[in-house]
Amino acid sequence: MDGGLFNVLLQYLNIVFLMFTFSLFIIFSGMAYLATRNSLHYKKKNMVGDLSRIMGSPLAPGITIIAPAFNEGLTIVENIRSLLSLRYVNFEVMVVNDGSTDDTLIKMIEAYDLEKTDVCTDPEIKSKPIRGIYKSRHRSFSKLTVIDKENGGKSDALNTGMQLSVNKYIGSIDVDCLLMPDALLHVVKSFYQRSRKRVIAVGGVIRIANNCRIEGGNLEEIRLPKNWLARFQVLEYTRSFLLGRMAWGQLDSLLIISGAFGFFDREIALAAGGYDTKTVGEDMEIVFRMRRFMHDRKEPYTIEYMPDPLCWTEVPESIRMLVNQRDRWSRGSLETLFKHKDMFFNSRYGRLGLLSYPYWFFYEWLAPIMEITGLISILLFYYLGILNMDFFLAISLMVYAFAVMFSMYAILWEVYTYNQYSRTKDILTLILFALIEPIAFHPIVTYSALRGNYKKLFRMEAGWGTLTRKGFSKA
Amino acid sequence: MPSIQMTPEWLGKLTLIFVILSGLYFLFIFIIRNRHTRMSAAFAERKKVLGPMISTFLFYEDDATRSEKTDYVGLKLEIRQLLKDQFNRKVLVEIFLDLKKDISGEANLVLSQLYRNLGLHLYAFDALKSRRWVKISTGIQELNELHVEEGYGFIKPFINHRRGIIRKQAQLAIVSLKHEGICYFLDSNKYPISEWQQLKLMDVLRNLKDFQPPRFRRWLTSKNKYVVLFALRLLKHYKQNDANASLIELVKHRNDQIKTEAIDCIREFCVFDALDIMKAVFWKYSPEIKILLLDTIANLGTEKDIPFLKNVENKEISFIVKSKAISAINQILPGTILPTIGIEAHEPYCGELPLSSNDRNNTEAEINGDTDKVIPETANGQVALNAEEEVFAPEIGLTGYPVSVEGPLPYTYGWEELLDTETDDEVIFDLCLMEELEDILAQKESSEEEEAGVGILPLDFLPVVTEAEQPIEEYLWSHSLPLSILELETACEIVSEEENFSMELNRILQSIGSPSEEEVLTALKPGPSTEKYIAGEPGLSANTQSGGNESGAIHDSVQLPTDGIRAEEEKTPPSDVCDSDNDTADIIFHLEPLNGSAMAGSSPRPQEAPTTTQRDYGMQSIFYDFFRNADEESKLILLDEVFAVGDSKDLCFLDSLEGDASRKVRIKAARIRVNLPKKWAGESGTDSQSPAFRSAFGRTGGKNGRLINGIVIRPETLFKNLQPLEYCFLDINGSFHDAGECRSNTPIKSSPNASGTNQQQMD
Repeated sequence: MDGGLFNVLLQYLNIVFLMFTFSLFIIFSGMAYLATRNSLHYKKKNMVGDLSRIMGSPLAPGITIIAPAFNEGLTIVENIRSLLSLRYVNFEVMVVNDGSTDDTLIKMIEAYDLEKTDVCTDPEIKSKPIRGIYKSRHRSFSKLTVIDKENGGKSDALNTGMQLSVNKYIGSIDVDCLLMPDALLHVVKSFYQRSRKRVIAVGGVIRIANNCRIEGGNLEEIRLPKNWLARFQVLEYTRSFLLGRMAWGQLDSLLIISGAFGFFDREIALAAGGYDTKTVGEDMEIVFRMRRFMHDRKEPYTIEYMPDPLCWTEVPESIRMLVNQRDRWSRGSLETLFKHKDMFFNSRYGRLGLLSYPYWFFYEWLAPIMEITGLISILLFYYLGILNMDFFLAISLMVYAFAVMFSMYAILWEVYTYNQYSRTKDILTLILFALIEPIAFHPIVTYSALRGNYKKLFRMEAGWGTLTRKGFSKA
Repeated sequence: MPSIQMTPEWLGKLTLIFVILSGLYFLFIFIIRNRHTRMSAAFAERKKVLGPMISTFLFYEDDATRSEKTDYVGLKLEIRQLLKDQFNRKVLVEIFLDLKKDISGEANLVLSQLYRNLGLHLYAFDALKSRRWVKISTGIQELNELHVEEGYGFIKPFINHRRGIIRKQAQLAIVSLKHEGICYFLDSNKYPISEWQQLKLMDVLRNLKDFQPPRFRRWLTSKNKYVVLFALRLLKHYKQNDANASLIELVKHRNDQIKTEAIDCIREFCVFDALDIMKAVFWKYSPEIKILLLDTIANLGTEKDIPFLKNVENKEISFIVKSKAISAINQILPGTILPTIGIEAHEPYCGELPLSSNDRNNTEAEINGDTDKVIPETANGQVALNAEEEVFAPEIGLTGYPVSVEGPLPYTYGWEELLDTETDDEVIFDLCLMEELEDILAQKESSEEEEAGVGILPLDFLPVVTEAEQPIEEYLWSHSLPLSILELETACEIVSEEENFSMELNRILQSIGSPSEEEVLTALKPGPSTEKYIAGEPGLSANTQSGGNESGAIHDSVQLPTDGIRAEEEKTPPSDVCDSDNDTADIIFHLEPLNGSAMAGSSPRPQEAPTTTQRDYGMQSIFYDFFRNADEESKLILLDEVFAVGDSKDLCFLDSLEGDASRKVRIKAARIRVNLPKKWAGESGTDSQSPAFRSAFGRTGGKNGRLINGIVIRPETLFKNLQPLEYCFLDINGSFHDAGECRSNTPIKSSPNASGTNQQQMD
């Protein structure tokens, strides 16, 4: 190869990488600023008023919490009990047994004294066949409905629940999640507080419950996980939920609502076609589709985001499970971005097309690919003897310092807003993990994302994978 | 060639900036944490000091001693000094707001008064002048929470503030501070009212004391559609059915929410005039609205609307709307559309006899849904049933509980099952009756031959009904009863609705082919000087098949234990008074008949006074406060708790719920009222610690039993064999009486009940 051309190529490569890096810094700094503003506003706005007062209001809207369950026999009974104890007047817990092969259904029937009902269902329901709808004989469990259906995946289960629900709002939660007692009151407030725009969905923060003390479905003590992988994830979730999503919420450009804790306007969700059963990133895809639906109808709408710690869940504690989970997430992102590719820099979709979609494309999906390309280039340059070692070290240090700074800001913001970890030791541990995360944890995440992309791009068979739960009661 | 001049030194500088920022964040993390900790500690510390001071003010009474008064004045001076400090003010306001949530009634007013006395409201007024929205909204909230009515005028201008948070707080305060606030708000509000705000405003209105709602139809013509929507909701909530014309117009509104609310109101208030307009607009609306319209038509519609509904069934594409149309048709004309899919044709069962061609036609017609040919109707439109067919009692909701006149009753519902179902009072009462009837019929069958010739049912379990026109005192006087009885019976009177009862009795007698109520009453009419009862012995059972003459069913062998009653009455307080301080007077077994309307009291004199007393004693229940602001669902849950942890005070409280607005609550309260003593009895057997036991037998435990109406009742035998129904007839003092006694104002006596169990329990 001509030396001149090679040099030009190298220069372009440098420019691309530098541009990418610095634009990332700018975007992250901007996000931190927006998140700060949004959080402060949220905090002040919610200082006044007492949520519990409206608990018994005749105007309180109905909410159906749909919890798909597949082989959750170990924890299902306790998890349902926790869901049934939520403080709200008008809600239904709809557990969709998605063709479990274990004793999930039997345990539910025994624990809640369920009996099959003769509810007539719409034959046009787009889901796998429903085997039965169960209700409890006991009045105490009247809020519980169990749908037994053939296995069709999480999206299919959610679609079934959505179609069988009669309430105005539906919530998609992971059955093993622990919701705070007031969670539904916050959700209703978020749905109902706007008068000029229709709130089509509400999302919230997911907090990590590993090692927290949970008794009788109540979170008694919040502690930092003992497992090092889970600790990294605490840091990652804090950054992502308290800064990232808060910032996108401020811009009204949120493109993802976590499947573990997301609530939707049932009418819009159904009109938009419900969950896509062909993707593993159904939580992101439905938000894309609902937004597009509202854009196309030219109706004023918004998606609300609540930073309050309302939903607690277990995260993977082994590398294998973590890799599977992240692999799935990246496949889901890719599928969704590809499906809605016509939004890319499409001014018709406003901020969504010009800002939010490109961000997801470049900094969520492309970033791992850029990282691995950069790493290969460095090794190649080193092999060719053209690597400027001083520059390489300087820029690596700078990136590292920025990453640590951003994590530190996330911890600071957590302390300022919710201060969930009361022990100083926990905060110091988090800071320590912020220092080592770019070296120890980030490569695992990058590897998982690459693996997901590889599987998707080369059409390899991949499903949801499994996450073995310890169960809160054992935590 | 493009190039970026970026040296490692430059990158190094950038790195240094990030490191410094990281260091700063690290410091801030601990500074903020320390500040949080320090502030919370200081706040808690100051609360400890100021809290008791506020309590002293709160519970200070004018008749205090001189030294107490001195202390009080000293404290007041001290607190005024403390108020000069902003931090102290903040803590004090928080204490006030906390206390406001915890206390109620008189103390709440005193708290608001104290807040004003200390001049804290002036600081809140100052906050209203601030330029910061947080301060303004906090100030408004403070004035609202602590009910500073003087603030009404100051807050008014904020009702249309451009900043939403201030506006919303002002709206809540305006509505809360003065009763006319809602009118001002609805008149002057220019902005949209969010659903959340409507929820909160509604909550404020619901909790206003002595609030007389204005006629909300005034605002149905508002130019602000949010005001119209809110007015509709208020209209529905306060059941103001004086806006029919406006409601009909609003069905045509562009806004779906307004349409929905208007349709809801139409259904709620049974606006029949709206049917035509609903049918006219039906096809233009969304499936959700269509479903609502169909639901309303189903409720209000008549046969005239069937063609329209059939049209909907045929033309509509949506499955749900179609189903709703079918359901509406069936609701208007039950059985019009029967299931057709998956129904197999079967030969009808007709015993050993071969099927006649007519029967075959009927079966086919039934399968084809041609019900008119299946069930012959009488001239007045009633379905004519063969005597051997099952008899239904649809008018009281007993459909589905067939009563056969031959053999034992097919009714097999146990009491526990009954309690688990959601039925109304009448159904409970009826089922109790059926249960009793079943026993009697069983007894009758076994002794039929022996008692041939006796033509009347053993109806001792039923109350004896006297002639309604004759005043009871007059009746008793004419029958030469002693004055003691006259006095006693009015004190213990528990009366069901006689008309209802008569109808029930007639119905039952009719269904079993027995003589009419009048005939029975004629037979039961007491002689001039003797109290007569229908005996419960099997020997007195009637020949139900023949409906033959009733004779010899009455015997006068039971003498009234008047002396005993007199003595007992003097010892015990009036029956309806729940004295929680006096265990021996605790009323545990004063169990009214389950019929709610009966509890309302058709006998004015003895019932009126206890109603107030019941409420007073009900207030002593720990559940009273919880119930005050609870919604229906919460009340039902709380009732479960009453059953779980309730004591004797809660029985009075349960009595007081008979007037609750919610039917479900009334029914459940009645059930729990019946079952609570049973539960105590079941839990403890003869456990002397059980509230029921204590209430019935006093603190001593009633080792020797208790003398009731001249009869000694031993605790160990009282609870053991009680049947559910018997609780209904258990008197205040733990003795049994039957409903007839209450009805006829006859004294409490130990007449045997249907099963005769109480006879065995008494020594």
